[in-house]
Amino acid sequence: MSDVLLQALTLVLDPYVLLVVLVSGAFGMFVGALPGLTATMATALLVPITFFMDPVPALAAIVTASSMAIFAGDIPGAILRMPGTPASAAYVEDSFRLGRKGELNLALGIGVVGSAIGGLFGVALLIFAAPLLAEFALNFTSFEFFWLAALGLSCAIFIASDRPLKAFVALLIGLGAATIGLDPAAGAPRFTFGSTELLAGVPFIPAMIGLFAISEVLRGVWKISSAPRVGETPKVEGSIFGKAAPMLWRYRLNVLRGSTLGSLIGALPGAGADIAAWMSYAVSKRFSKQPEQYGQGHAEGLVDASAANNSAVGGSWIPALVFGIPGDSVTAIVIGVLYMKGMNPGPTVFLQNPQLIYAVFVIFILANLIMVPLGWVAIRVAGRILRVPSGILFPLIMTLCVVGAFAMTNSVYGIIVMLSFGVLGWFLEENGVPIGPIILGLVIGPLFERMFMTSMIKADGELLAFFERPMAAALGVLVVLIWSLAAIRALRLSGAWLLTRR
Amino acid sequence: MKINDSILGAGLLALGASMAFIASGFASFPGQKYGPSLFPSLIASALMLCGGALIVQGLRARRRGEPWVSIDQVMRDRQGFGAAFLVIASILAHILIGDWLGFLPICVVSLATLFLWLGFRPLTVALATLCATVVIWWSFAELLRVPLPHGVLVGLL
Repeated sequence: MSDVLLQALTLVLDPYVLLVVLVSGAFGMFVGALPGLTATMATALLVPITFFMDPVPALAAIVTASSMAIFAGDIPGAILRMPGTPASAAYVEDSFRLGRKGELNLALGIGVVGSAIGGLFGVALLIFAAPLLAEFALNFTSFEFFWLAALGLSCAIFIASDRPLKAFVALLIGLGAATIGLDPAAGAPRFTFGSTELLAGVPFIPAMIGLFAISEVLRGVWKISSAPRVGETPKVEGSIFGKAAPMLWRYRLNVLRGSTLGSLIGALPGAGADIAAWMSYAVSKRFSKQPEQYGQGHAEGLVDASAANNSAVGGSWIPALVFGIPGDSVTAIVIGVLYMKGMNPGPTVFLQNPQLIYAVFVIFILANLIMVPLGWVAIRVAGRILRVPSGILFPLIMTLCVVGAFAMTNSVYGIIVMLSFGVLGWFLEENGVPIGPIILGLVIGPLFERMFMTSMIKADGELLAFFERPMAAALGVLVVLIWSLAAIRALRLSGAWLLTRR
Repeated sequence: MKINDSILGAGLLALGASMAFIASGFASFPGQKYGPSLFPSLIASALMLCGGALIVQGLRARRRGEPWVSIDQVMRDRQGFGAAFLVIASILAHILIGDWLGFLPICVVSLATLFLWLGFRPLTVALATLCATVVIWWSFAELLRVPLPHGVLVGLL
């Protein structure tokens, strides 16, 4: 155990890895601080570059950039009332009004310190829970993994979306696209239409760049003349930590509550940082002595929620590392990257490559520590970041996407996949279909199908065998329960519709 | 651009049906009960079910007065439409003539056109295009050794 930790430390405390952490941290801050560019997009743009790195720096880049971007989303929220990422939307009213009162330094100080503490909390849960769960999961057979994957996907549909039907459609599109290529059991070609490139399946990174970056670019340039111009922004004056520290101490129980809730929600498959922020804000308001102050520039909810969204980042890596089941779109990308690096996520990675897992833990701690100084700098130069014209940024992002997608296949095939998924993602989002589930389906599809086919062959078509093992039965019942509740709700809704029509 | 859910549903229904049709032709292996077509067929049936549900939803919305296709104000913006068109055209140029013309010329032309269209001054456009192209070429083609096509500039680089 201690020599594994030592190995992990030597892997991480390498000048190259530390440089990667610093650069990707600054990159994450920048992307997160720009309204309209999300943490997922920061990850999507980074992944082609991580492709050329060893596993540890590659994971370091993703961990750092996504953590920073989730905090940096607070910056334009407080200054312009435009959350930089969806995860900062829950408390934008409070932080903006604090800023209006001349307390931008307090609002953003709480943001950066609260985020760092929350982030460390999430990591603590990850460090504590992941190895335990992995040991437990070593006994799992294809039945348990099948139900786990089904549970993860069901949660993604029913928790993370207010439109379950359309989220399900998105998931099916992802799962369907994942069946293109050679089938996992017999190696028969499927949906390849004679193309040799399709034999290898849909390349995951170009698809992801299309879904999360090209679709944003299209939407962004389309709205460019109606987007509000950022003129003079209020300057952040006064000490950033001096005011925030006493406030955080006063609400220390809120920090604790927000972080705990956030890391648990993050660990749920399908729910990520944005849901963690909304829920902890609601819980904070419910138990507050001054609920009427919420939304008026009150610091209490801010403390809860900014700790919660960053703790969810660490939490969401638990199902990803232990079961190979993504909790949100960022960890879906992570799982894709792990597969590419030959580190198949799942309980066995804890036995085969424990030093890599511990390296991830160390990177997480490092990223949350470095967040405080980097965040301080980002807050100080926020005005300048926000004035970077989006008309310059979007064409640049487009070019980076083209190069990144090309680099994944070393041919224009990558660009074709990127453009197709980009236009598809744009069109689906315009029509209320969320795109997160597509990437979940695409990443988890091959594993899901393999577990399903293995289980079917073992059970010889006897569906009850899926429930024979106690753990499989428990998970299976849970999945069936979620689907029946959803079905009852849907029937009730359409019943109500029929009644009102009469 | 919002299309009525029933159109989306009809599209999914067609997609599911064609998936199921193609999957029915997949090779099956003797002695193996469940072949490569099982999983895709299940997905195809689920897609068709969802398509059906969306058609019902969409037709209900129609009765409440929702149009078949609605285009919001933002989409009517000429500058925005042109920019989105230019983005897609630039990417298509990389796909269609990238190998022949090379990455650099397409990159320069597409960036400069987009910047000009979005209303930046010629000097800004020239500077931004030049810097971006040099940095991207240097970091990807030189540093990461991505074989970006040289095209007509082969021999010069």
